[in-house]
Amino acid sequence: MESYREALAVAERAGAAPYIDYPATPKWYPAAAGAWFAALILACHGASERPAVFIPLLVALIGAEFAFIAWYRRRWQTWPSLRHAPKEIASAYRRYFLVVVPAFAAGIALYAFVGPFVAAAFAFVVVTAGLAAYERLYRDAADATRRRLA
Amino acid sequence: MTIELTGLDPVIHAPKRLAAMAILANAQSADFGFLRAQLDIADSDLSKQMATLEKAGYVTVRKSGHGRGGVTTYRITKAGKAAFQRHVATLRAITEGA
Repeated sequence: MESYREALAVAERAGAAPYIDYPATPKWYPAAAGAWFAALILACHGASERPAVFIPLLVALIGAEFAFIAWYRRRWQTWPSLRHAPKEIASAYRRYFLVVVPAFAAGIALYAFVGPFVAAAFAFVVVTAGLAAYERLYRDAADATRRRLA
Repeated sequence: MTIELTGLDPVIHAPKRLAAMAILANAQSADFGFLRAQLDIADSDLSKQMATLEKAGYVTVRKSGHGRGGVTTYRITKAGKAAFQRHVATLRAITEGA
């Protein structure tokens, strides 16, 4: 019976590995992501007036995002599924989306009713601060998962 | 008490393969290097374990690049995921029924 319990523990510890064994996110990442979102908003705004300039910029921004994801995936050597996260990590995911959805809505509202420059500044500040906070939240969740499974 | 053991899969029950399957069941994919670090085993041993899982149809393998920069990536199949879930459910039933 003990060997079956040990097998379950092995499965649970190994199953958590893709979520809790991850490379440190670069320090520049939150600010870079904030700048990326701000640039995306301004490029979307500019694309209607000067498409020759801003559409290539939009393509470059999207390409940069894909390049970053590919680079980070190579460093991580895995990519966790969103569906089976340990409860501590799942809680971090939920809190992330609870903030992202209203922040996204607020960004769209600012873009529509105030203007693209204010929306871009808002996106830079919120994304930079939000991602920095999420990095700490995720790190604490990963630590809690490691302690539970130790 | 009678315990139903038919859900225990001998291919998955070996601890190294169980751990590899648990990782892959919770990831979109995992590289050879990640699995080796997590299982803490030699390259040759991991290759052997993964070949057994591949032969059972539980994982697929994709190789990209050559030489030192080459990467071998594994992904669990639908059959592999179902077998893993069945195996874990049986382990739970055994331990909770004890």
